[in-house]
Amino acid sequence: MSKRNIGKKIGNFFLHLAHSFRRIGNHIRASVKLFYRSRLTVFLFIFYPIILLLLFGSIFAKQDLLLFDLGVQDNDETSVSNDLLLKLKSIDVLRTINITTDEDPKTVMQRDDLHACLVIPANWSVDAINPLYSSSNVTLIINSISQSALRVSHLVSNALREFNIEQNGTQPLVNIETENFISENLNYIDFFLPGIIGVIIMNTSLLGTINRQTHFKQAKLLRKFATTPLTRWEYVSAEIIWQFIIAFVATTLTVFTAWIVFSFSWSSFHALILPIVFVGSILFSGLGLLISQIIRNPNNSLIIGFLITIPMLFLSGVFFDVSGIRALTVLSKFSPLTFLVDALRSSMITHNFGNAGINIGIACAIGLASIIVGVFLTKWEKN
Amino acid sequence: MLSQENVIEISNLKKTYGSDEIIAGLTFTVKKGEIFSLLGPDGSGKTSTIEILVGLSKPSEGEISILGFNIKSTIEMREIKKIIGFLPQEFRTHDNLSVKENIQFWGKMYDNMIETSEILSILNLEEKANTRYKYLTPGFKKRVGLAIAFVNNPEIVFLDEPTAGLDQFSKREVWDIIKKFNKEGKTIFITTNDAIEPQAIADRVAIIHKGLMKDIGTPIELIDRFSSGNKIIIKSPTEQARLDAIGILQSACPLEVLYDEIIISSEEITLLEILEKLDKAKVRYSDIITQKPTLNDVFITLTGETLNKK
Repeated sequence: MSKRNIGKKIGNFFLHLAHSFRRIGNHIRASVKLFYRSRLTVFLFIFYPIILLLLFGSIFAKQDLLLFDLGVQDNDETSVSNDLLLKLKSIDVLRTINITTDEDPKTVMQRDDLHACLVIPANWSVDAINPLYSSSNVTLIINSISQSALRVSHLVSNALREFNIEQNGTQPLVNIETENFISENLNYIDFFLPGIIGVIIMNTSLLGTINRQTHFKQAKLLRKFATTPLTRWEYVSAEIIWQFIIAFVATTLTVFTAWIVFSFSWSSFHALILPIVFVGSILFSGLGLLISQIIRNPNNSLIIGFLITIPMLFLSGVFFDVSGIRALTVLSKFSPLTFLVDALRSSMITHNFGNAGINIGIACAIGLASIIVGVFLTKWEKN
Repeated sequence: MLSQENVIEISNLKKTYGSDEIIAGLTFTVKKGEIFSLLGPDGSGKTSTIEILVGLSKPSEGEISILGFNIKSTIEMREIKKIIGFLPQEFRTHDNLSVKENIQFWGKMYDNMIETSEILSILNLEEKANTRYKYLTPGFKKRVGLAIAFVNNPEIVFLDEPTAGLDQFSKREVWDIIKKFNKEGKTIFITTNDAIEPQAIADRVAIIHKGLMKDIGTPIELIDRFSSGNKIIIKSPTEQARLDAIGILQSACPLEVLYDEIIISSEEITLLEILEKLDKAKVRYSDIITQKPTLNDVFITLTGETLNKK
């Protein structure tokens, strides 16, 4: 092949690419106009999440969980410390997880998403039974913004009080020194906000895609698209970019509201959120594309959309922590929203970027698989 | 202006859905610059044919080329899509975009969009340019559909029943627009079940019935070939008057009764003779008209059925 031909082919490729971008841009421009001209859509995708934030941010400050994990590092390893551990293990709603003495408890907490960890120091029992000391300390490291951590702290305090009585009558034998695992400035809204951002992405991308797809099908616009140079990939790309734009705008407005109303700490908001919002848009647009293939009656599209999104809201721990409910913990892994919310919480609260990365990866893989299957199932011609 | 160059060549086109044969072997060509009409009743295979031509469905059998491109090739079909326009039977576009925005939306999907102002002017849509699509009357909506079908300056435009559901006035407007574009050299392919439409605008017409080609030619050729002169239609004021007229006339010439009309071929008897017979027998009539044969008559001759089954 001559150099001239190669040059021509490269030129054609870029020309083709430029035309594709123009068509994608054109589709997005029209979507923007259609969006702001529909009051219902603006309410549903922009103001509704803010209302959710204001409403649930105010009322979901306390929650009850059924099972709590407590990391325990026993550096003492004596019969006295063992008694304390047995005391803790006897509490039905507490599950103790042993942390070996060579591990850093905070690292384990971050890695395993533990909200509380009790550290029994070396030679603790010597001090505890030494009459020269009136008491000795254990350290409870907690994630202060986690509601379950607060409950664990309460349970451990009760257990220690009983332990004191059993060991030494009413005299306090063991005191707890509480150590905050995360920045002291964080409050409940910092825990709640990642969940709300997850909901925004899910609502805009999943419901948005289902709604648009079924409307386009009903109006036979997809058939008309099929007779133009617009390809299915260009169309799907434009749809995903559009869902991302909406999700990003809604997220920004919600975060801003959280800052104004709930004094949200901006230190939690960092650059990783942008790719998470993008991956979330891919994930839920892909699922929306798939689901819209099975919706025969366009009038049912929103009902089906809500039937799918509402269980995900509860399974994914948006409003309350499900880590204490074993059955829900297993089920939550089947909810794609879980991966998104976990990625957001890992990056915004615990700054566990490894965990965030894994969850982003899983969400991205599900999203891309859904898009590929969705695109191949989307027969414009038959629609 | 017609040229001898074929822009569409269809050979033995067949389309089946399961055991149903929708198109049973169509063969015809469309010449550059002509208005070609596919005439047939609902269910005759018109829409299936046009959908195959614009790439919305695949033929089960047969060969089709459009401007030399083979529609069976995905890559060649992509090229075809750039140079054709299409107005589907039930056209809708974005309700919340204005006429101008809708035209721009569809136009920007192509590399060679006509200036929006120009297309608005051709379609007489300037006044409605900023009106949202959902607020337009059916006639204007159809015009927007036509504007979108022509927005990429296509070489061939496919219009699937472009005047269906329109009143006579709107129909004429649409025909005028189609003729205007045709004068600019566009080849236009129309499907219709209205016999008047091809007579009004088509250069050639193909009559199809149950997926089969019955005949093809110019409207005049077909009428000359299959119709026998003008028709005389007698309308009676009462049922009794109609029965009396039938009694008087059926001995003089063959006649056909359709609803409240008595239809007689002018080759059998003259209008004067009919009037004399009815007056002599003192049979009342409310109207007597002479009608030129239409393509519907041709269709009846060819198939034994009318175009509008209703």
